[in-house]
Amino acid sequence: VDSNRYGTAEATPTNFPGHPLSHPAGVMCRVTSIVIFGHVTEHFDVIIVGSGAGGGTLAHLLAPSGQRILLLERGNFLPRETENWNPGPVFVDGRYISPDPWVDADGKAFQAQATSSCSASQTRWR
Amino acid sequence: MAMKGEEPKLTKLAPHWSLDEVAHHAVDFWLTTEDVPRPGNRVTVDRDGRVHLAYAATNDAAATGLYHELRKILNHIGMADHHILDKNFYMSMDVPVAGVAHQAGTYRFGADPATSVLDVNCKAHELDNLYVVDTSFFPRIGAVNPALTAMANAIRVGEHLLSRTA
Repeated sequence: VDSNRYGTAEATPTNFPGHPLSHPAGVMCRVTSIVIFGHVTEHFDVIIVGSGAGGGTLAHLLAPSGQRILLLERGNFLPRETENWNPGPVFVDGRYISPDPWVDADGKAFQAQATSSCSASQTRWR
Repeated sequence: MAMKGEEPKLTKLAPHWSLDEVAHHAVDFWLTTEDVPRPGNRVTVDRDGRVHLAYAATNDAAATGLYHELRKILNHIGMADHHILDKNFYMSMDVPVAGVAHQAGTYRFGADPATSVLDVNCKAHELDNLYVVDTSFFPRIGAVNPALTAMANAIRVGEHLLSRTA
């Protein structure tokens, strides 16, 4: 996705951003349009939210079908570097952890050991 | 290498070089038991976009039982046969709440809308164009890593979508 072209997706029958049924790895099917700065500019058959184990696999399966597919991913690509293979940087230093505090049941913030990046689930976790 | 953030509480005051030394003479075991479904364990998002994770441990009897079983076995295989002093000791810890790699459930699938969010094709019961293909659809997590199951299910749902839109 071109980073200059962020917009909100409108889906029928429910607008999914902020909706209780919205989900990082949800898939909106037969979504009508992408609205950018208030103007309808793109149409997609399938919008996949998240490029992890589920969304990335689904995108791979649907891609040859010829349908117009939009794959949305919050994170960037993981850099290709030797630290990817080293438990020190990965687990001790938390090099690929997204700085994104979560909140526990007592209202206390904590740093989740999670990553937002393209295909994160497939490349990092099993 | 001793893993920061993965150290047992007993070692909290130990300097890091000493943990490295211990690690060179230690055998690690990873024991996994299932977190059984609990309605209060869930992920929500607040109005500021922050993720809230409510989690309470479940199935403690199975976890404790497995740990004691491991100790029992290790005590019987003669790990310290040639030492005058007993050199076996155990340090254990649970994965902290920040270990969120294997979250599952919350949008479980099923045939009955009263007890599930998604139908058997992982489509939302009440919406015709919303499918969910991550580990949310799991009715239970099981006690093994979920990624391959999530990928296999995404392929299954994808084939359903292809047949539906053909």
